[in-house]
Amino acid sequence: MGTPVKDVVIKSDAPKTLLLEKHADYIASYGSKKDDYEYCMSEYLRMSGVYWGLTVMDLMGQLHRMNKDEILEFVKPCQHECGGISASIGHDPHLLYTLSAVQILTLYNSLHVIDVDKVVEYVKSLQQPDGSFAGDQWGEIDTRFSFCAVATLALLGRLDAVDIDKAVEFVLSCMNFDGGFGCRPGSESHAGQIYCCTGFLAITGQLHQVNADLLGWWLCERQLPSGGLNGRPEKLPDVCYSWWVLASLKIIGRLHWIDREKLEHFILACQDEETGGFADRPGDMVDPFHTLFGIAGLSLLGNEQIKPVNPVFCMPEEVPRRINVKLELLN
Amino acid sequence: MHGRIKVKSTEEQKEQKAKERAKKLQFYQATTAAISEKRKDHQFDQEVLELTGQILSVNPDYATYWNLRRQIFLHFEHEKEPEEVKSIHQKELFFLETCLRVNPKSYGTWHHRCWVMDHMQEPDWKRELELCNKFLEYDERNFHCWDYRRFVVQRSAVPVEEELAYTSRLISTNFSNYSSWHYRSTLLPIVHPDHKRQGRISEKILLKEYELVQNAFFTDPNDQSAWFYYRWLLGRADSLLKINCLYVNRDQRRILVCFSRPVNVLSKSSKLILFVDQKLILPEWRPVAGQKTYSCVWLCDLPECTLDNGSLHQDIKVVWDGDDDLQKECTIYKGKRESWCRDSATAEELFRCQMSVEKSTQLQSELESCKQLQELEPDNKWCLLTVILLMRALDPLGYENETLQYFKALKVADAMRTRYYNDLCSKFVIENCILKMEYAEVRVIDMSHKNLTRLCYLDQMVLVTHMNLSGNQLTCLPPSFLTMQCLEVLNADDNSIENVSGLSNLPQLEEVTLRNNCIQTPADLQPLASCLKLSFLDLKGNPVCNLPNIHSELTLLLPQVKEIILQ
Repeated sequence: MGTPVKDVVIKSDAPKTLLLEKHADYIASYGSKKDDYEYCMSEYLRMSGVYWGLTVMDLMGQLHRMNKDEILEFVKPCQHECGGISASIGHDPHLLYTLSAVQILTLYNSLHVIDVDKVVEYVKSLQQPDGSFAGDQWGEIDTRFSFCAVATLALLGRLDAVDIDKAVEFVLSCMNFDGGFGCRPGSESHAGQIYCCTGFLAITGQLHQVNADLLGWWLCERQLPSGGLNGRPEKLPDVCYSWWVLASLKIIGRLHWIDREKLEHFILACQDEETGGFADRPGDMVDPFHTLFGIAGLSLLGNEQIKPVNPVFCMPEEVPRRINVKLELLN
Repeated sequence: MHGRIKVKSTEEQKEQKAKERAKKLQFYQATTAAISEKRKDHQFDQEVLELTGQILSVNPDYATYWNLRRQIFLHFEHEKEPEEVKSIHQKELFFLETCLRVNPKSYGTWHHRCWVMDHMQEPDWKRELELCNKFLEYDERNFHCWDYRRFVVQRSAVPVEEELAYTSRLISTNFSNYSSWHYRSTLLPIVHPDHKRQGRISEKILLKEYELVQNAFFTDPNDQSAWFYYRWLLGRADSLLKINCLYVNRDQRRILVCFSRPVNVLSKSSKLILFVDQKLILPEWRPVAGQKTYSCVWLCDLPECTLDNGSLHQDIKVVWDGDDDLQKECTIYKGKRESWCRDSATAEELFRCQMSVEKSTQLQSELESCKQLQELEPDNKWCLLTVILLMRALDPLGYENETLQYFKALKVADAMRTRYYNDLCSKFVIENCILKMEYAEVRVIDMSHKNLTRLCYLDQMVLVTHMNLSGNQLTCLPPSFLTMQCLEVLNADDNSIENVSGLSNLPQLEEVTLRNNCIQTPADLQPLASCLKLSFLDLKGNPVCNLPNIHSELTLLLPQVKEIILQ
């Protein structure tokens, strides 16, 4: 009686083992055809695309197959005069791509390629009087950008550049009745935003302000009968939520509230045996975005073929450790 | 990137698709190149609007082109007559609406609409509200639209009561209500605030709201949103910051202060002031758990002669932040080792909210209704969980056994979340153990054989001297255990403990038994080295006991322990 549960059914012939080599091949050759339709159409997010590709290759121990020089040459001219970095040449700077660029350069230990002081200045310039961050000069406010700002500064060792107390105040004002977080004060809870806000609070040392039991419950209720995770109630499961939800649970010390076996079964079913890569759900088209989050999710679940991933930065754990970023998660 | 089904197509279909894409790509590349040229030459004109419009109507996530349109409009606002600008803005709103119809979930489109509205001389907010109504009819869960609605409401000062009424309408007619309940949760505390509890609702309205939600989940027991919302209604308000306990120990010359939630005593903006016999003392406070910035429990060491044994009694007082309401005092008498003052957990604030007779009566009847629903829908886990929450709210000790039965049923109905239910049950069991301890007015807590999978409320057990944790499923004694500053005897036998990092720097700890656990190596016991009064340690039945030379290694590691039992 009543509303049926939205979910997928995993076919019996869906992949059950991790096809690591296929994924490495898929990413290594992605973007080699510069005239591919999908590739061109996603130019507006290229910097993030490069970060997704590099990170997943590094997690699989295959970073050496990516062209470091070409990538560094790509990143450098994307820094604009204001200090901000754009997704690609000919696009406007934005906090989203500034973070992706800093993550890429951190992976490659090559921050000297850009003007770090100017990046810090750019991030600082986007903080508003209420503590929030705009994504760029055009003023869109979103807790995603609060995360981008502090994650960028944390990787650069420059958290002192902004008003952290005010930034925290704003993020906390986005906490909802269900313990989750939305884009802006009053916005509905969403797993992506929750990842950004718990990551933000981890970086700023304020995780004790989270109601971990309440939020953890909301997060573990994302798991559907298929084993997959959705992003909020009554939505379909999607492999990228294996990251947003799982990383959030890890940050607040409640990863064990998810049924790991069932989730792993779902993630593996999202692989494409033919092309390599992961899709959002079994049988759909693959892309680098879902490939990263499928692999990163498996890492959080303890898969030993993949490097341990840092749940706040979504980079191999050894990277933030190498640069001494202080992070304390709940346990 | 989302929801693109992989379709198996014939060679012919593949070729056809490739041709179409090549054509689209050619158009895309030509158009973006043209725009690039014009932008380079600083040409902000109608043609650029045309060209960017063509790209954006297919790909509204191309954020740079929304930026460019804004640059053009700013240029126009400068160059053109107000009437023409007005017309341009109207056209843009029309264009935006067509974009939204194709893709109602693009951040860039919605933000640009906000920007245009903010730049209009005479914005028509009523029309925007109508637009929101329309889009929410298509998809009541579109959070972009809800956020845009909140923007419109704020800009045009729509009365909150009207928005509340809107949510009531939606909830009574639709199925997909999470977004509406969420919105309600933000509106109710504004329209009907509980003046004593921030962010909560006045009781009269709360009771009506319980009814509303009950109707919702009785009509459709599978509607998750109502159950989530109901849990919130049953919950407690955020606790005001309080000092729960002040403890003084003469032998250790030490003072412990326990707050109701984590604070940073060392921040520039807050101060914890100490008075001994009305004399101001500025000690060095430190958190009980070493490196943490925020902690519930703080301690300080008193200077040498502060607590001399001369006078009949001494008054100790701590004040937080110059706030007279936030203080605690106690008196330590001559000859007494220790003294304390604490709020009782039996006072309703600690585990559940205060209840008037009306509320309690109504919730009791709702509990009965939920139990009836549960009989009709035995597999409905929401119902089982809600029955438990109601029992906790009404009478945690009275419903203790029944609660455990419901948890058993819950783990069958919703096996995937077994570990969550085990942890939640552990929390409720520990609440009851604390209540029993408080009612008995003793400092001994028995949490043995309760299927505990985790420890909670350790920061409220500062005064406990004897703790029995045996026969549970604990895997560690974590850093939160550091708050057990008065603990003298610990029985943690028959668990699965591998890690005892929390058993460090416990100044009163004398006896520990950890029989039949999972301690693997001497290094695992390193934390105990800092428990200087520890004289008895029983490790029988741990893997570590089978290591060669283990007794001498442990004697070296823990020289203060007189008796270490390995067999």
